[in-house]
Amino acid sequence: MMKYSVTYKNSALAALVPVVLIMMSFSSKAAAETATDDVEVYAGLAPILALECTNVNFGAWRVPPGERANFTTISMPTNKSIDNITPTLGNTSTADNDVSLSTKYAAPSYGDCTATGSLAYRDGLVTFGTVTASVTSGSLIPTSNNPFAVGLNAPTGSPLSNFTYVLEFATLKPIISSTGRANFWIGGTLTIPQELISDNYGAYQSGSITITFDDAQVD
Amino acid sequence: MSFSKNLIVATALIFACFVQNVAADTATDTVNVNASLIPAFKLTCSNVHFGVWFLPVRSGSDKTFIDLREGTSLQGQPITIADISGNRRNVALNTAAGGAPRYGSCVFAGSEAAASTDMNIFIATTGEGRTDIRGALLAGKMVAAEDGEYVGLNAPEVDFGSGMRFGLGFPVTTPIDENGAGSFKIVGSLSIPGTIVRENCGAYKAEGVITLTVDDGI
Repeated sequence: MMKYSVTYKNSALAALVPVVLIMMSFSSKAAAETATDDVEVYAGLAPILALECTNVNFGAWRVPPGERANFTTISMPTNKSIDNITPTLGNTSTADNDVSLSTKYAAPSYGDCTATGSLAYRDGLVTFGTVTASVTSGSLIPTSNNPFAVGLNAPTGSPLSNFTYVLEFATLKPIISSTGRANFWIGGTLTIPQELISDNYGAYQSGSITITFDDAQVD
Repeated sequence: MSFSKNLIVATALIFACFVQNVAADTATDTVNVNASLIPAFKLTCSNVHFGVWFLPVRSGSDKTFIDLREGTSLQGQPITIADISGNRRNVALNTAAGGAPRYGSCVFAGSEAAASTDMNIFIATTGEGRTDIRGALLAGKMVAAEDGEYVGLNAPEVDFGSGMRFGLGFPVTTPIDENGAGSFKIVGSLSIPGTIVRENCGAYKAEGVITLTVDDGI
């Protein structure tokens, strides 16, 4: 009679059976018991106060050479009615018919400023900011980079004296809306000297003027 | 849960910072002021002078013709040349006292038309009721000049009536340069009657007012 027997001589194999049983035991437990929790993630993003302004353009004016009856005043009123700017003689309201607006170059345009990102608004209150400028008047100097008169060169002659501007702001205390925006615009007055020579013709520009918007309400 | 709570604390701190900023926030931008000066559209012309001529007292129908044209001096300068044709007998130019012939010279500036655009030229006169002839030869009569431009030369005692006539010639168009400027000349022709009496001598000018107009089409 033959007998068949197996003797477990390898200790590692001998230990295999209990290990497998333990793993099966864990797996069975996971399917039956779960636990969850919800988390919420928060972050805060706030806008920064920013100001953007377009440049002021008084336009390109056609002026005869030589001495005229008086100096010429070009006014860009701050009520935004610049569709029909009438040059006037000196400080009067008499039209200066010798001077006319060029249609070849860009029409006069306000400096248009928009502030965004203010958190100063308070519900139920009229909230406004405060506008200041580094300068509000000055002389214009020759430039070849007047963006409103592309192709027009700087005058070749000696600088034209008394070619001046005065800025006028529609408001220095613009209202801040509930969305944190405020808008204001810049017009002003241009003075063209009484006498021009041919070397005075060309493009002019002021220096850089810094406009500051402060959303602190200052009465 | 504790993780979530920690985040809430952080958010509150950020918000506190914003509140503190409100009173102190400013923003700036820079602007500049722009303006340009360009010449007004303008036309300037000098008068046409046929000059002062010596002519004999004569009779007949053989007219004298004086034609102005542009020439060049020996120095290369533009000059006016007056050609005599027809009855040339004893006809001579008196160059003294500003009597030299001069064609009309016109310059314009301040046009805003594109470079190389044609400037249209018109002429009108009240002399014979002509209005706005574009670049055509203008003709009319010469009448006694009480305020002639020749110094010391008075109006004739008796003028030629309709006998002395002028014609002016100029281009129909002329190009506008890149600076909005340009120029053109006015030349002319004068016909002097074949019969001249002493009382006809004196200063003459074209009848009426002659007006030149340039139009750049804008």
